[in-house]
Amino acid sequence: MKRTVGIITNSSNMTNLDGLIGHRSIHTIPIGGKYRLIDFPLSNLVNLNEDIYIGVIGSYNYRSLVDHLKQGQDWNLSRKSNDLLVLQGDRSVKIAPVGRLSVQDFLDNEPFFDKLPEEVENIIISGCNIVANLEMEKILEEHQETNADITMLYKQNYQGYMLDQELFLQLENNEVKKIYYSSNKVQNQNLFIDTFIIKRTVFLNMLREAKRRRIIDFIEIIQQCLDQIHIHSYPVSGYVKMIHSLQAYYECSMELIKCATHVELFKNQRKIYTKSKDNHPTVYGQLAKVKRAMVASGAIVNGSIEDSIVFRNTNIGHGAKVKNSIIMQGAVVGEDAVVVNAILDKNVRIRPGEFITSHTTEPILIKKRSD
Amino acid sequence: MKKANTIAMLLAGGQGTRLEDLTINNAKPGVMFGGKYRIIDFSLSNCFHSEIYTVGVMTQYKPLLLNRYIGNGNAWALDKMNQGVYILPPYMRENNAEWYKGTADAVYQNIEFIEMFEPEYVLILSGDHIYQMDYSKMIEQAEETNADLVICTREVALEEASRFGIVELNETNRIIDFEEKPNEPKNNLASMGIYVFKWTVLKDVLLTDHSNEHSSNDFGHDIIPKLITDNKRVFAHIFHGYWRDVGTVDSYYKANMDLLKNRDDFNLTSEHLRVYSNNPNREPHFIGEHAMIHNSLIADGCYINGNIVQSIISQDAIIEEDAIIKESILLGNVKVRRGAIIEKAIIADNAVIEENARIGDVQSDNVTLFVREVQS
Repeated sequence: MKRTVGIITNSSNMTNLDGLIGHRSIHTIPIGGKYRLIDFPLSNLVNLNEDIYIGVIGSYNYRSLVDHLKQGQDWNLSRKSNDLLVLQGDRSVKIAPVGRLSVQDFLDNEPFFDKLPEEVENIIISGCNIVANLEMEKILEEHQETNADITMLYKQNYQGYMLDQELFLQLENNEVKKIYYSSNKVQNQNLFIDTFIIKRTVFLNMLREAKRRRIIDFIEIIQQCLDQIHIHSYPVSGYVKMIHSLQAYYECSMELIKCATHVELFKNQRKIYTKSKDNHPTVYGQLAKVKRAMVASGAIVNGSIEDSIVFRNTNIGHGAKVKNSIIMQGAVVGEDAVVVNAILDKNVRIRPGEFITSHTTEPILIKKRSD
Repeated sequence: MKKANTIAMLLAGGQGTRLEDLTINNAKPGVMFGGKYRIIDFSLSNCFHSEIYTVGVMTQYKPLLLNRYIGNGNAWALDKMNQGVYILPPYMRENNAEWYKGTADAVYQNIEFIEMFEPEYVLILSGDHIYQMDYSKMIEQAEETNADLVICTREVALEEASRFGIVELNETNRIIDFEEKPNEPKNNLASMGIYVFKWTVLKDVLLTDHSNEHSSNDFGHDIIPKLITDNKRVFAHIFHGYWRDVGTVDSYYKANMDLLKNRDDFNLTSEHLRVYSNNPNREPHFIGEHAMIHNSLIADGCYINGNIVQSIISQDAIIEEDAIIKESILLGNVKVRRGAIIEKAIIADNAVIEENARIGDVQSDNVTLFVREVQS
């Protein structure tokens, strides 16, 4: 049986997320009430419904990643035929510049790629910070039908916060003609969503070439091969968000509590999987008031919640008000406290009566305790 | 001190006819409870907390959902090497093939299974009790008193006593008399149907009981009275915590509602003896624009846009705008359409409550049970 290999990268050049990363790997930024960022790309790969071998390139702080994934059982990846491996990564991030798609991270795992069996035809490479529920099965099928060397995924008319330098594709009959960075946020551009399918043999050749020529960004080597190989493109329909900054993170969270986005991402036949925990159902007290919110199990709610995401094992005290906010797991909002336009990181405690709000359009981030 | 080698045998075979249509497709221990649990989660979690990692689950009536739910026991961390949860349906032997005839017969038919683990003690459990308990205290008591059998007991209201096996003790808690479901109970100390047997003693009495054709092969009716008559060392362990037999619709409803009463002795939010369950992968629930939720439990995967008061909503429920749910229990995957009103009712799995429908009555003394019509 042909096997596909999935690689999830560490997107280590996303420095705009520093506040949320702190002691954790970018893969494990909590999102959507019970998920971590990596759950989306990982579920997209698992939902291919075929035997798959997945390598996750770790990052500098990989403890949280290994803790989250364990042996992959919650993604159905601990079977003999379905496998998960955490690869090393980010070795050079503190001492040298890294590319958008770090060649060094691939080279550090050369034995992994060299040992892949011959029957592995394709490698799916995905960033770890893409919130979407992708029809990966169909995309892989099209990649095979068109006999492309590479199929790059893009989003047309991307709506949402963008960085100053985003990567776009110029197309002609679905062929990629040019890959370019732009800060020019004009409509009708095709934003590359850091996900592509590449033939194993093509990948290995390009990797050798990049190594020989000391290219640090894998995107650069693809750019240089544009006229020699067949690069197909695939327009992703539906909800896609690139989480590369605190603003994008907040924007995405607020969209998850819109019914349509919620249904598309979570009520899909393709499930988004995450680590399971033994939590009691959410407890709502006599005076709880909740509207337009996503609330996870294990939470105890006695106050009011509006337009917010409330994670597992949180406690919203009597008389507390939470609005336009994200309350991560284990956080406690004391009695009569007010939290507006804020992100409370894991285990943050807001004292009774305390008032937390942002004075700008950007949300305020209350960081995790350093212990 | 090294723990005595104990395995648990859990009786999960009963049809549970008094739970009426809740057990239409499912054995009683597999019925949902408290929004995300199944009744059997309580016993299996107790086993884990008591460091008993080998559990034989004797199933007979409609075991399919239960088998699938239990799997290898990993949800309760019981999948230790060479241990774990084993589903034990009746099976065919060289000369005969029989169903489990009574509780004792079910264990009798699994003597070979039990012997594989060479236990010192065998803990007998029921799959339809709601309680959190550390069994190791019972096992310690058995060791300390050199008991042949320790029966877990608790005080019940005197008027209820005739539903239970009632024990009479001497000053060392040794049981000097046992009456199963007496018409005129002498006191109110009731057997909870949880037993720790010395395996050698249990095996003997099971073999004798099996060859006695007048026996109904039941622990309460036959085995325990026999051990007491034979002057075996039978002791009572007295349990003080929350415990409910949820064998009837009414008791099942009341035990669920107890979860909403902030009781100190029955609180699933505490870490102590936490109840584990086989967690389905579901997103956090979604609360819409028109929702109002008071004093309720809501599981993952739900979409809530109606009014929920004093109720327990299990996973994947869809509650549309203007629907009202009061003092009710929704089991998994129930849809409640706009304007429907549900009061003091139990809505079984997969039911759809149509627009403006009315089910149950908050003023009524009885709980209404609504089951999805079975398509033929």
